[in-house]
Amino acid sequence: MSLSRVALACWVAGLLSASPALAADGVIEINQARADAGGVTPGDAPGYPVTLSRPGSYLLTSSLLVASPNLTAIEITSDDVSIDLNGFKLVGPATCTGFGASLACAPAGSGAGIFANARDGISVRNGFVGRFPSGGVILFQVESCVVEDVTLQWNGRALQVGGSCTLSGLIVDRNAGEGIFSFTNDASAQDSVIDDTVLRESVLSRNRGEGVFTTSSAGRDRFQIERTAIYGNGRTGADLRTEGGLRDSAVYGNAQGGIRLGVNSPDPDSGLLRGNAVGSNAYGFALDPGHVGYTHNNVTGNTNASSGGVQIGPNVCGGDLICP
Amino acid sequence: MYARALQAMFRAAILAAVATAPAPTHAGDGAIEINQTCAVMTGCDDADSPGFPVTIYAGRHVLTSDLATSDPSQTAIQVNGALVWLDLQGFTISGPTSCTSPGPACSPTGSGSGIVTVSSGYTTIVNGTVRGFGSDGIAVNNNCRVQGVLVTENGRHGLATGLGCVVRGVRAVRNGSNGIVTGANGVLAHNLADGNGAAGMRGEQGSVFVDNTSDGNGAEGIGGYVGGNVVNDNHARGNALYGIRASAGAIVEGNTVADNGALGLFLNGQAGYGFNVIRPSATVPGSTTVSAGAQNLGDNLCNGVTTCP
Repeated sequence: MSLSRVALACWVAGLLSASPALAADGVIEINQARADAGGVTPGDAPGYPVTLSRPGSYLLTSSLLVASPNLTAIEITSDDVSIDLNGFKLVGPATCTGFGASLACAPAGSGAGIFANARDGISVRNGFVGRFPSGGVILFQVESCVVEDVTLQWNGRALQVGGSCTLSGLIVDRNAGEGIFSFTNDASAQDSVIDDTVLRESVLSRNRGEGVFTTSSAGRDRFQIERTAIYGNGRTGADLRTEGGLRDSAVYGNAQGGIRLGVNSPDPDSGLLRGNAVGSNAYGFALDPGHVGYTHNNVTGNTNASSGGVQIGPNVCGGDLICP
Repeated sequence: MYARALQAMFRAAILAAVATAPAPTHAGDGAIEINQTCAVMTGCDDADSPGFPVTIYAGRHVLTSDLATSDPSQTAIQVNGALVWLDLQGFTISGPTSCTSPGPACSPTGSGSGIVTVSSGYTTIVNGTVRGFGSDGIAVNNNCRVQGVLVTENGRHGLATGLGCVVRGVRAVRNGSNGIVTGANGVLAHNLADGNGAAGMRGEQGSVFVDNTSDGNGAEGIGGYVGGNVVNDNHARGNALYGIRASAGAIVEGNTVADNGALGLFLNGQAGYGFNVIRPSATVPGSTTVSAGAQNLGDNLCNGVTTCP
């Protein structure tokens, strides 16, 4: 082999390694080797974070292990990005002890599993994101997102979303902040006039903060929880400072209360609680007195009395059909 | 000279790679493969010895063939690490047990399960069949996710989970004991339990049962134990004992309950029920609608009338 031929081979190999790894179906692969090498998308430097600067479909083909508490695993800087974790893990360096209010994690840091700021159309599916000191999946002011079949454990805040998102099949356990935090900025360019986010068929458990906490700059957005178990969180199970509601959900054993809806909200919020079991919390519910209705719930065995809301149908409250 | 040096380096690199990574086998997408050949001949994962059980640790694993054992006390896959994602990819894990209705009667029974976790949890199992084990089909720890799996003809439970699990799209058919039994605070949605020896589905406090079907089981169709369960929008028919059983603090709504052997709804006095349609069996003595003392929230239809029980 001549020296010039070797040089040509090396040049070709270099070109190949710098271009995105494409699966046969056009999906762009992300794995530890490509994270180390960089070039997953234009502008992606070697090491962390893996920067996704182009719309498209991305597939993990190995787990990503991040040793520094201040590094993020994947940063999304484009709209319309879909990440299939493909059963793999994004893992940071934090470890935690305890549960709920007594949960303690170390080290602290600014790293997240997945981070996006003010983007549209982000999807994250099928895997585990854990042990990132700042947060697991932080979709800050991201509109129109989908997060499903993801397990989030031992992060700071587990999951943050903007508005108009669909969240389902999540297991959110033992995170140091809120399980799910939703904040919509009604002045942002991405914001819809009215956002509706739905959380379904998930378990939010033993987080140090609230199971779910929602707020918005103007209070006109909505967060609906359905068919979900919320238990053992260190603060309130669901604290919705937006429009919203809970249906067919069990809210059990949360340290500071079961459900708050429309309390301490920027403006009056309407909502509906129907078909829920709310028990063994500090209190069952605390509701906006004029705009939140409740019916067909069982609110039994909480330490303190529920308050607020309008009873629009029968409920079970400690064996009494009249609540509170 | 230069080319010879490159060849030597190339050869050394290949040898090093071969020496350090003979097993496990990685699928094209980086997952660790499990199949009958590696299970029996070489071991499938790091530190897994040849023979059953296949012992797996952290990471993503995929079945690339059916797995079969012939000993009812032999477990097929044992999960020893946390954070395992196991995709059965449509394949079947099978043992030697078969179960025949009614009952069902299962034989031979033993201590083996299809999949067992002995780890600290966070296991996901999806997309396949677990059939014919002497004990449980799948026994999995806390904070699990089990979706799109058929568990059938296992000697004990079809699926047994710890607390805080999400169980969706599971079909539990003709297992010796419960079809699906979960710990506290789980979510069970869109599942089917049919012809199991004990309950179709059982869960403990704070569990959510929604949009399930539970028919022809040996005890209750759906049972919420301890307290604070949600049992909404399910169907329970032809179960030997109750259609739905629920404890204090439960809410039971929107269910269709018919032809069960005892009460359609067997509820604690501090459980509430509404919007249910309950029809006792016309042929089974003792088949009735709702236990006295439960909190009637209205809009129920009990044996053709709106007065319940």
